[in-house]
Amino acid sequence: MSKSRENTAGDGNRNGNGVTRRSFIKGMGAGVVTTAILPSVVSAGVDLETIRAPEEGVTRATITLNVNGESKRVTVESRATLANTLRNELNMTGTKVVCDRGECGGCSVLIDGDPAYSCMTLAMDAAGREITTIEGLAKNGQLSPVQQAFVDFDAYQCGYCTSGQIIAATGLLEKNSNPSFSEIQRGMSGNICRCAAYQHIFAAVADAAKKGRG
Amino acid sequence: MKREYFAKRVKTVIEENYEYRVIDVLLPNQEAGPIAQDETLEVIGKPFTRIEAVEKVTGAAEYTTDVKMPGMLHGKLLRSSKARANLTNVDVSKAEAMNGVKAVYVLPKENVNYQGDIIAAVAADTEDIAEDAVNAIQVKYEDLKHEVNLDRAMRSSAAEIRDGGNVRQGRQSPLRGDVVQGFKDADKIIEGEYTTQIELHQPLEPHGCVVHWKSDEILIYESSQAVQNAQNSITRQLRREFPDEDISDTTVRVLCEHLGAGFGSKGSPSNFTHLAARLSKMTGNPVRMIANRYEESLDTGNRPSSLQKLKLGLKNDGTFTAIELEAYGSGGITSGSDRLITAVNEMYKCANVKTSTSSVSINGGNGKPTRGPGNVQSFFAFESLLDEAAYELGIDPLEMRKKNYADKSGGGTGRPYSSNGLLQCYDVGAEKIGWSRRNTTPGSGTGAIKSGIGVAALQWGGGGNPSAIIEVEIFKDGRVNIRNGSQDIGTGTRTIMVQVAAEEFGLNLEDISIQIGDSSYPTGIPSWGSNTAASVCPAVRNGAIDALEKLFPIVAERFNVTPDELESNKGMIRVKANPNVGMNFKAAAALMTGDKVTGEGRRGPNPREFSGNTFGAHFAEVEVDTETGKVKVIKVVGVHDSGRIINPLTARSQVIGGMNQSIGYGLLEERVMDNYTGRMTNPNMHDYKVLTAMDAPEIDVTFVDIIDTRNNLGMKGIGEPIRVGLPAAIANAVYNASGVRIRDLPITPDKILNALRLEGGS
Amino acid sequence: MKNFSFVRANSLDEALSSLGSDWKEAAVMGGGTDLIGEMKDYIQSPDKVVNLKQIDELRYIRNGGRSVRIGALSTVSAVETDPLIVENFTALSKAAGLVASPQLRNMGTIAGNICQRPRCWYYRDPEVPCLRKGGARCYSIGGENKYHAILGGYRCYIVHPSDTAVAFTAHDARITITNTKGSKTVDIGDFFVLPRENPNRENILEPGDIVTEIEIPVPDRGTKSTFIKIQEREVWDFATASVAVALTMNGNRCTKARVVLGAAAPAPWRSPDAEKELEGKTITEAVAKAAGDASVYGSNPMTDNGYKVQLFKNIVKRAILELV
Repeated sequence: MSKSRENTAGDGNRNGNGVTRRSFIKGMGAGVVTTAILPSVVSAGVDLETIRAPEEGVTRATITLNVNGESKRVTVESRATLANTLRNELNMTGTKVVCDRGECGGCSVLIDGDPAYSCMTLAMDAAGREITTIEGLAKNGQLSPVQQAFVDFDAYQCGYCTSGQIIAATGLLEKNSNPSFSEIQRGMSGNICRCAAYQHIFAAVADAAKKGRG
Repeated sequence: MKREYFAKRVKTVIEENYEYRVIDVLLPNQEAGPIAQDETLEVIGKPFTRIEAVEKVTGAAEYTTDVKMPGMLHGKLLRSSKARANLTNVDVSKAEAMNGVKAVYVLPKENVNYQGDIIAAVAADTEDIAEDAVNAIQVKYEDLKHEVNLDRAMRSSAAEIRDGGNVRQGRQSPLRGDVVQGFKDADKIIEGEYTTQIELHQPLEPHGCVVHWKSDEILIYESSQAVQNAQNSITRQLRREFPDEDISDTTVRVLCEHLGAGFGSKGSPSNFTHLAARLSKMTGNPVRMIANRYEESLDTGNRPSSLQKLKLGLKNDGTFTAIELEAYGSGGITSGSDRLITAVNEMYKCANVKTSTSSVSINGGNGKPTRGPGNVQSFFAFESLLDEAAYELGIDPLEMRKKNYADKSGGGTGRPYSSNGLLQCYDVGAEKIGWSRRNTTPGSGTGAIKSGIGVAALQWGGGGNPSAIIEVEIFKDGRVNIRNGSQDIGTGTRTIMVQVAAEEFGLNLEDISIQIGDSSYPTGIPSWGSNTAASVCPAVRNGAIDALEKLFPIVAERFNVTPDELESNKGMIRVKANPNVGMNFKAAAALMTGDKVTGEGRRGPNPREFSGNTFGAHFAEVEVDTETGKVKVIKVVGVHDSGRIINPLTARSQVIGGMNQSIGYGLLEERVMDNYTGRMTNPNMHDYKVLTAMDAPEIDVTFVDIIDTRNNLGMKGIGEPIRVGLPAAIANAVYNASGVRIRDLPITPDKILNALRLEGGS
Repeated sequence: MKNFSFVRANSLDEALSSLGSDWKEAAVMGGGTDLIGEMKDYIQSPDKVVNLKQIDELRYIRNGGRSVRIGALSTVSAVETDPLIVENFTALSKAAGLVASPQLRNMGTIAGNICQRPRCWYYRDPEVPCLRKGGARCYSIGGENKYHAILGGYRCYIVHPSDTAVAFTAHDARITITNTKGSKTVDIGDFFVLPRENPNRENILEPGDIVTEIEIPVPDRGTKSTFIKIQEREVWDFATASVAVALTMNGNRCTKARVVLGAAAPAPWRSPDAEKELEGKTITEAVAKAAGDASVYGSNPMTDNGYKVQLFKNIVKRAILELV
């Protein structure tokens, strides 16, 4: 009997090998029909970077988004939010749109290292800035310490807010590697979990901090 | 040896609409024996992390909102801006003429009855174009008088918004005993009027679907907590709408791999899925239709409000002599009140009880069952009243609950319980919260910030039922797969099903795959009523054993015995008379001639002679800032009798989540409707306030170790009972801290300050 | 949201020349956390959005000798944590730290925070033609007015939503406004307007104006300040009541007082009556209570917001006592 998945919330004594490569790949490839990327319906616009008279502005443009270290060219309308652009144009649906008003945190991404709401960020405004999404945290199939801690402490139920929570926690720990309980609570206060796994989230962040410090 | 099933008519509780529905199910003539309380288990009862954990933490988990299909269009709805109006004209010409708009459909209706009532649907190439098109539709309304709040809709001067009057008597429970005499016998009569607000489910994944109406199949991805119920309901609706189409029982297929919660609101399909289907049929393309938060707030369900007028007669020693309840509730224009009588009728021993419940129509989106429907409201009112009575009589509120403890259902008049750990919950909880630390005189603390402790009892059904069929496959290479038409709402259903199978097979969780969330799979269980776990897990166990037994002939041949002489235990198939002779099922599987064997598991019926219920006690410690009116919950203790816990880690997640939600319901959440405009003032996630990380207190979670008798695993439910007790426990703690009694949820600072002012007489 | 023309201004001059002569023509975007919400809800649908975020010259917090100067595009997080602010302006640092959520503090700019539009739910409902949006009347009168103004309302009863504006007022901040014709600097008390003057806007900004700097004088020796915010949730909520108090003490005697209420009125509400109760006095509990009571003189609550009167009395007293 494998004990690798076994754990007790509040008990940091477990190993991180509960993740199998098999389930990871299965997860990544979920649903054959859904991996087909839709052709963008917007025609290529002017390149935002090359506009000479910026005062006039653009209603549609081609921009470069730097997402998880990769440059992505995408043509968007001015009104396109970063969240919708990630989800609809770049097919990165880990970032969720929940309230679409900056009131829940489900769409959190790191912009230049700081947690921000991508539903309240225009794609054009994000052009040229460093964007990290949930898809960019695991490296070579290895979960990040925060991701692993969320697994270990069952820091979610339905999982819909989880991407945003993990991004917020990652941003928090990058700034403060040894947060107190109240700093964790405050740092995670921009992300609603309606299933309300808050206490498990706090435990997970504390554990990730501890592991991150070695 | 061969497992046989026989048809039997079984009465099973379908929580939706609180109807008892008689269904035909096949029951096993024999099933796995119960697991003894002291049996050593390898997997069951252990805190495993979720089998879908990696998908969830990497963003790879695919929810309905994430589904994309080639050629997919985006659907949007035009919804009424008026609470009540006749539609005199709906002009879609501009919308139809827009580039990228592929279909526009106007619903055949002459009037709208609430803000958010659907008027028309659009499909377009992008979400933005669809929204532009909806905005381009011009509607002419003829305003009609509306009522949007329960108190006003009940008045004689109210506009009649529903034929036959706004107030309708619900089905009444039979009168028990003689309440008139009961009140005569009382030494003391305590009365109170309690009100509860409308709560929104606010699942973070909004209601939504992606529908592709193909020539031979209508494929529907739906964010659903009951895929087969959705399949059934959509099939019926489409047959009504498209009588000329050949829609067989299997034409519609509903899929839901991951579900961003539902809390009851996704038990029935979205009220626009049939429109997405229509748009798909009109265009030939798949159509995605996802509610935005405004729509989610207005028209995807809610917990009905309540007004409960209670009267309790007691002897001086605290014994109940009579209870009377007059209750009203309002969920919207057509859905009515929840069943508001459980705390009064079931929970305590009382010979004389009279209740009446009425539904009040308002011009609002319809209610839907909301985690612990009815009981949440009912227990807030009665557990508050009981507390008031205890202080009035100078009796310890916990002792008063024990004194009136009912050892049978129906307030001591019905069937015995299959198990009931309530008294144990009281004792464990009292110890954990430090019950003796409470103020003997409410509000007696010094300083502006006063602390106090309160308690409330809780009860729910949630014992599961025998309708699920689990398919368990063993492949030649030793792999095991489970298949069933249930779904995982986020509670970890997948994981506990695999755990139960792993126990029987002696396998690791990783060695077993599971397929759920597809309506075409064998009969599943809706994720509602706290019924899923206790329904599917015992059936998984039977299915695993059945599959293992399919290998018995192979093993029997090998050892020159008959299959009847074999038994299986943790994956080992052995000769009963000589346990040293046997082989692992994997070795047996390798010898099979085909690719796989398939077992089938069903659960035995619930014994009719028992009532199956979950119980618990909630304790809250609060601080009331008497200068700001703020209530801060310091600590809550939840002690629950929910039978055997298959996975204490995921069960704990359910409990903390449910208790946190209860704090939000108790202190923050409320749908606010403006009487004049008839519109909701807070259809968003800022003004409708759900609990944040900063509001989450210390939670102590305990399960009392009681194994139920009704199924082969001794399980009961957990998802809903945890929502039931805490609001009253908080209100009672607020009283214990501050000396003011708030009878109206949520307990917001304005109510505390106003009550303190009245109390102070200034 | 309606599509619009997006302008990425690279300098203040570029931004100023992109703006138009009426509100519909162009909107200024700092963090965007308020503007984008209003646009999504169709509360405003400008033809052009001028994004200021690339303008590094507007992002600074620096020691200006006798004052601290905050560039308009400094984020709320930066203001909260900057040592100059933390050291000299406790009320502001606290207020900034209590704004919304961590993400919104990272995104939102300080000028955007004081210029944000009201959160009144009638104003935010596109279907309600309220006075502030150019309609005929205020729907909070006889409506759901639990969060509305008890002071300074006149035909419109919004409360000003900014936490930092309340603290800035207590710190005697000055606001610099720039347009194509030049710059002017006004006292914060002259920046905000009440509905009596203009029921459609919360401040004196005209189309074409950009707030470019907020300057706060370094307080006299012996000055301490604090900020208390009461919100229904512990975080991510607009205040139901807030107060910023700054007291300059000479020994036991208060020589100068600022008492400013938030979420009381359509603008940050300085209370000279409360300040009078404090100045020249030794601060005792009785004096603090008298100031608290005085802070709401003239209040005129509606059906559901009467609780705010007692609430302000109590938190003003509490804030004062916190400083002595």
